[in-house]
Amino acid sequence: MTATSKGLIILDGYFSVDYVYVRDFLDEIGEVSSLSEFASLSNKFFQKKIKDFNAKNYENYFTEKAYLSLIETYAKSGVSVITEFSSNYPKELKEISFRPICLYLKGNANLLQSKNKFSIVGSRKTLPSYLKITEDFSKRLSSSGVIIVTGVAGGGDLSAIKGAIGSGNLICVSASGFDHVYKEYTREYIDKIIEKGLLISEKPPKVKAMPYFYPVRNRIIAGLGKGVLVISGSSKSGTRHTYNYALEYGKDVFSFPYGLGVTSGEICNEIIKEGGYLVTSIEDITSVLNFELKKKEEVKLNDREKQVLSAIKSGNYQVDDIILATNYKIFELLPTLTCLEIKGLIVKNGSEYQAVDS
Amino acid sequence: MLAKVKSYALCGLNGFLVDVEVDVSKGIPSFDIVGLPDTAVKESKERVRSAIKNSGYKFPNAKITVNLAPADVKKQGAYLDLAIAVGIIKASSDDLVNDISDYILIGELSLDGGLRSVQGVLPVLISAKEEGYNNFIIPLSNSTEAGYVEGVNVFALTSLKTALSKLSGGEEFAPVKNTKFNYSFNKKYDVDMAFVKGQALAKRAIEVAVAGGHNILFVGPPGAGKTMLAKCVPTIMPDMSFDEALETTKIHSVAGTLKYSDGIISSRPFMTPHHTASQVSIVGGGQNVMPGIISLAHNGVLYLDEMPEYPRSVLESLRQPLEDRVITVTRTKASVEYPASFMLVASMNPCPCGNLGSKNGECKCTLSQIHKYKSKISGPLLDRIDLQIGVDGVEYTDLVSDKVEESSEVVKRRVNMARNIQRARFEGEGISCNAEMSEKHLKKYCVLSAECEEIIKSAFTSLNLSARARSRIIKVARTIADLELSENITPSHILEAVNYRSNQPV
Repeated sequence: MTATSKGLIILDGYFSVDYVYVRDFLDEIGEVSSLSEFASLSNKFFQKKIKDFNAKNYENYFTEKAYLSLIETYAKSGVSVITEFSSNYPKELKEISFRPICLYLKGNANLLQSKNKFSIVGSRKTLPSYLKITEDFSKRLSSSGVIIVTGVAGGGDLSAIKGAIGSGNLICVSASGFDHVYKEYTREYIDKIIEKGLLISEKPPKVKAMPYFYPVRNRIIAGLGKGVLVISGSSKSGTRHTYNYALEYGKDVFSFPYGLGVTSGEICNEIIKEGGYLVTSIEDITSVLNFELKKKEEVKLNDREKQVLSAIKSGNYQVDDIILATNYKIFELLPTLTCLEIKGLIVKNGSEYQAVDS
Repeated sequence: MLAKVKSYALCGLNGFLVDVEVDVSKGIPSFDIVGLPDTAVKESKERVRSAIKNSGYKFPNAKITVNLAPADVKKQGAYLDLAIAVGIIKASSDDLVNDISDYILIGELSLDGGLRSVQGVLPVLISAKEEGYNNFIIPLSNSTEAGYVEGVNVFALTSLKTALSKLSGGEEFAPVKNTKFNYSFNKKYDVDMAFVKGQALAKRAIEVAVAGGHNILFVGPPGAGKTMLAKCVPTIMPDMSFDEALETTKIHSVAGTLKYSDGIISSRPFMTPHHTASQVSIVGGGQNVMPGIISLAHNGVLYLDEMPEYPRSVLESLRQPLEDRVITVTRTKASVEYPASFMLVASMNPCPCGNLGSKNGECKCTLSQIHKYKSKISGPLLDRIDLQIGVDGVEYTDLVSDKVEESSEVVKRRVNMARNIQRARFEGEGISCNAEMSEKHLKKYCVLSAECEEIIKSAFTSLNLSARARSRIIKVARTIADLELSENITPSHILEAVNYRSNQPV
């Protein structure tokens, strides 16, 4: 660890100085040679820039001892910390503006080094059929060696997590510190994420989430991936931030198409309109980003299943419509539908069915 | 002089004999009723006095003591008016020489001496008949319900005067004619399955639910036709047997909700309490320990529209009766067991605004609102609802189409067949339909082939079902097999049963 890194970790751990001031400070001084130099320079800089900067005992914190005790407390709860000056700081983030200064890691830190990272984001209110497709995509990509990057909320994040957790090729970015991870939807997965995948945050463990952390966090998700798949989002959704960052960072953006008037997919159609890639099958992603996919097992279907599946694919979503299209009796149709559902080819969505194609 | 007259009073659904002893003796004129009477009985003093006077008899100017035995049970209602009046007349004059100890007298008196109808005549007659009493005098307006009790002589009369002339042997009256229970009598429903356009899934679900006695929940946006579907449920339920009808009528008779012209309830009750209803009104209780809505829905349907709007305490109180099919209502005065074997039909929106997952509207609810809304229905209660169906609105073109839909009559025939199979199967088990099966019965009657086990297993892993869903699925599969007259549960039955769960976004 260089003196600058140590100084930054101490600064982040003991003082909550706004990101912009630290960034300005780094831009001005570059790297320093000792902790005491970091302390005096930063003290002077912050006093000048920040009106009511509390400077009492400030410089006393910047000692080797304070650094070690901080690292030790982190290590006790399995957390390691890197800064943008560290050798294992992810390359993708080095290239972006406003890159996180410190990154706190919990889990398999090697995942950060992989070249093939792919981000998946989506709103919490996503239609079940899209969730299912997402889970499927996430599963196939991650088992083929692609690292899935996502958040830790419900909905789109959760289905990406569900798909990737099996292979462990998963990085979840938390907006808050690790002591306050938002577990409402991912309670049963969080331990597995730490065990097999990687949980990261740019906030020290004790920091609680503030609403404005989330859009800022999204720049890490957008920044880490080679491309970003936006699975859903209304026009006001937070996924818009991820999309904007992805554009800014020059990432490829992918999106599912939605029907007219489906609010949970407004942003996706907008992305496609503005030149994003339209995704109807997983190959639409892999061909652009040069990911290699493992072959998928063929699912065997009987005649009735084939007929019902093709009826659903041609736009008959309601049970009543499928009956009209196939002429099957309801008691013949229902078992077939469940069969297709178990095989993962269709998804029930309230009273509707939708084909899952991957 | 002392006179003894027999009458009956009610405790819950069971009547008990009340000996009305009247003593008229010399002394300062007074009129006392002892033996734990309630207010309605105490007030009968005034009614009896006027009725006797206005019927042309003389009210004795003496010390009158009326004792109602047994003395330790509270007597409620105005059943005893007639017996008290007859007792006083018999004790004070010799007009009435005949022995009237064979007769049970029931009726409320009006001031002019007329006989008014009382609640609960049917249960009283049934319990009295079981005790070996055969001769009754009841008010005329209760005669229709009394007609359904076989093997007793019931004289339905209009006034105290006619009652006395009957008892003194002055005039002959014909006993109430026995009415044969007629299945088609009184069975009119406003809806029919044929009126419901489209909704094949929901209609099939109702059929399965009714065939196996399963509870059912509809989840869907407003205007999807949930209420209409629910109203169709009684139209395809099997006809009530006489015993069932009698049981239901007893409860309605006690609660005072029986129409006197109907006599007996022959169509299955469909109770729709509003969600502002109190727990006591739904479960039963109150000062007089009256039956609640769930008992009035006995052998019929309890429909809870907008289920999450009901107070949590009300919903939770349904759990035990759903399991045991009876409700024991306990108050300081009495502890009464009312039957409550009903089929629960419930409906709810997927979220507070109702549009979540709907194709026609946008959901404006926040995630926490949706969670809060859904958490109003507890897991244990949902576990007792075997079929949970998502419904969505029908397209306008479907709504006005001429396509002929199956009528309730046809569906009912299939349901009846499935029910007959179940009745034969559960002979001697103490249950009558698949929904009532316990784990023990599941092991005995729902043996699954290896193939079926495999399907359930893969359904669980790929569809994220909860462990509790297993027995629900097997019970429903058993019913589907019964509908197909199949002896064993086959994979397709299991697969269809798995389908009956609502899968809503969020």
